[in-house]
This record gives sequence, C-alpha cells and structure tokens, in this order.
Amino acid sequence: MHDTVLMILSVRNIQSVIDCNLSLPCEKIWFKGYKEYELAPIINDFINNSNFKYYFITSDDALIKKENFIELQHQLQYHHIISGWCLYRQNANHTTITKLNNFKNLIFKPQFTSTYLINNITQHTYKTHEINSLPDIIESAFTGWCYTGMRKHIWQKYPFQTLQWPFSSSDLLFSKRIVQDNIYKQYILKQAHVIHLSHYYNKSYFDPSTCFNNKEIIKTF
Amino acid sequence: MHNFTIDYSDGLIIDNNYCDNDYALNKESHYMVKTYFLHKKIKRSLQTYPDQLGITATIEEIEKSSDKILLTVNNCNLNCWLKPSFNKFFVPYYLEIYYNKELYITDTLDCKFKLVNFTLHPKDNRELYTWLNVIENFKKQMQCDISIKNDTVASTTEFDHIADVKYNTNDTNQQYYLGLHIGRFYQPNSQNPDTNYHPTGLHNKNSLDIINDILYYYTTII
Repeated sequence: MHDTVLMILSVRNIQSVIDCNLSLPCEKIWFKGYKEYELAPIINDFINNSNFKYYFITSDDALIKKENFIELQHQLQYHHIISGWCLYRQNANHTTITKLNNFKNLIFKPQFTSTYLINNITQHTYKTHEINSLPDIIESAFTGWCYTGMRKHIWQKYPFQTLQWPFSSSDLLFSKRIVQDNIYKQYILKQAHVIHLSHYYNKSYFDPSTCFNNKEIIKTF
Repeated sequence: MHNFTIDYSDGLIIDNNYCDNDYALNKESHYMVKTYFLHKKIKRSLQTYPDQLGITATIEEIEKSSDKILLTVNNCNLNCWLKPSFNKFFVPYYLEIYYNKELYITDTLDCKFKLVNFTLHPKDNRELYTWLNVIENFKKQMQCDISIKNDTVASTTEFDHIADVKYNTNDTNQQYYLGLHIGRFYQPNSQNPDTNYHPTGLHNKNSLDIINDILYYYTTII
C-alpha cells in the first residue's frame, strides 16, 4: 500500500478526471456524490481514523500529469504544504497562485459572494504571462485544492471546514486560517500545472447533469 | 461597471453579461467592438565567422515584431451578445471594447497554460496521425494544454504525450478556452467548402494543407 492518499471531492462524473486520478501512484478515496459542504465531518473522520503519511486533496474537475504529482509527493519531504496550480477558469488569465498582500483582509467580508471573489481576489493573483518568470517554488496565499498535499498533523490542526451553505469554499477557508496563523507556509510547485476543466460562460461550469445521483465512498485500499 | 465575457470556445462571442444600469445612466446604450488580428513576424539571421582554425560559429538572431490589422467594427446593445466574426479557424485575435466612446477593455487570444480543444474528423488513420503531428507542434508553440475529441484518440494511450484530455468525438463538454474543428466542412446542402473553416477552400488540399489552413492561415513565420 502507498503511503500517500488522494482525497477526491467527486460531485460530478467527469471520465477524463477519473482516468487521470486512477493513473497516479497513490491510494485514492472518492467522496462520490457528496456536496462540498456535506463533507466536513466525513473527511475529518477519514483523516483521524487512517494512517497515511501524506494526504492530498483535489476537486473533481482538475487533472495533473503523473510526473508532476510524483514531484509534489517528493516536495512534501521539504515543505509542510505543497500544491499544484491552475487557472480560475479557462477563459481567465488569473491563476490560483496568490500574492500574500492583503489576502486575509480581502476575503470573508460579510457579503462574500463568488462575484466578489472574482472581482477582488483575482486582482492579487499571478497571471499566466507572469508564471515563467516565477521561481520553481512559490509561496502563495491560496492553494485552491489543486492537488494540495500535507501531513496528517496539519490536517488535524486545520480540519476540513466549509462556509455556510451554499458558499462552501473549503479551500479559501483553509488558506485564510493558514495565512492568519502564520505558522505554516503554502508553497506552489511551478511545474505542477493542473488543468482545470472549467469555463465561466453561459454554459455553466457546474453542469448538474454530470452530477452523481448517489452518494458513495470508494477507496483503492 | 459593466462586465463582458469573451468566449473563444466555438468561434468568437462577446457578451455583455452584466449591465450596470446606474453606470449606464446618461451614457450610450450600446458598446462597440473593434476586432483585430495580431500579425507576428519572426525573423532569423544566421551569420558565420570562421576563426583562424577555420571553425565557424553560428549566430542566430531572433527578432519578433507584431502589428494588429483591423478585421471588423461592430456596435451592439448593452445586455446583448455579439459575434464579430464567423471564422472557425484559428485567428490570433486582439479585441478592443469601447463604451461611451472610451476604451473599456481589451483582450488578446492567448493560449498559454490554457486548454485548447481539437475536434478531429479525419477520413482515415493516416490523416489522423498527420494532424496529431501538427497539433503536437502547435502545443509546443503555444505552450498550451490540448484536449482531443476523437474516438480513436480516446480509445488508445498512443497519443497521450499530445492529448492531455481525451473525449469521444461527440462529447458535448466545452470546458476549454479555445475550440477548433479539423475536418472537411461544407456549406449546408452544397458541395462548396465552408470558408468559415477553410479560408482558402478545399481544392487540391491534402491532409497537411487542411490543418495548416485552419491553424496557420493568419500566422506568418519568416
């Protein structure tokens, strides 16, 4: 059995993502059909009651190359939190790599909405044309669950939490706590570019017809 | 402030998806779009200087220059979408959106780190291999990710070094930045080639010509 597990938030049935995750050299656990806000107790129970060395988490619409995932695993020897990166949406130039300045002040205002996120948070992210000039390892204020990995004790210190329904945003909430406490740093591996199958336009990036109808937890171990 | 969405996933569509009525008070009720294509030239100069031992050094100079050429100018009512061009082949677009006679936003088609989808309709496997070789080159040039919609590609791992994401030919997924169709396309109820896909037609075109027309018609590399 591998010492690494990948936790997959699997609301939608996207075959190319399933194939990608199956090819990765680690154990996997799919939280199939669960909405993000339903998962807090389930994911935290799983982490507390399992004994892997490294725990990675990803969304259901992200793909990574196998060699880049292996490098992320390798980098966890040296960093507490490591992650890949992706575009917010395919028709945006903003990446999930976020500058530390003003991050904790910007998000989580009382009227937090996804429009607020797009209009404000993305001002502080690196854009695609800036990526090549960045170092190989970049400190970021945000990971976006782009194959974000850390050890068990960090997951236990910062358990999976979501905002009040319908704004789950567990990734934002996690990063906010990390930045506020300033104990651990979130690092992004530049080579670990993740493909985000998400395009923000009339055709919704969240297509309910692709959602699983049943809830199920599937493990490879 | 108004918000515009620019969608390249099937041709080009510009949409004023949010109209700020307060901002629009006493201003024009329409926006204007100027559509350009970016013309890029790459010039390479090779010079050799033999030294005393007769060894020649090769110096390569790469000079890039780009210019924009106006394609269309369109006006569109607020809250409405606009198709400034019906072209379905690759056009290196540069867009300027004006509101109330002032430049509001610009956008350049830039595939870097983004997902480009190719829906492939080859006549046989030889043509498929030819096209995939060109797509591999396109991927390197653009530094983009590639998804392929084709039953043959979807059923094998042979092209996984090119295709980052694979779909069957008829998959309806459109979660990508730029969408291109490669094949032979005709006008409805006619034998005439559809010039929205084939800017120079199909007469005497081989497999390589077809994909080169679709990908490189607006690109000149010297």
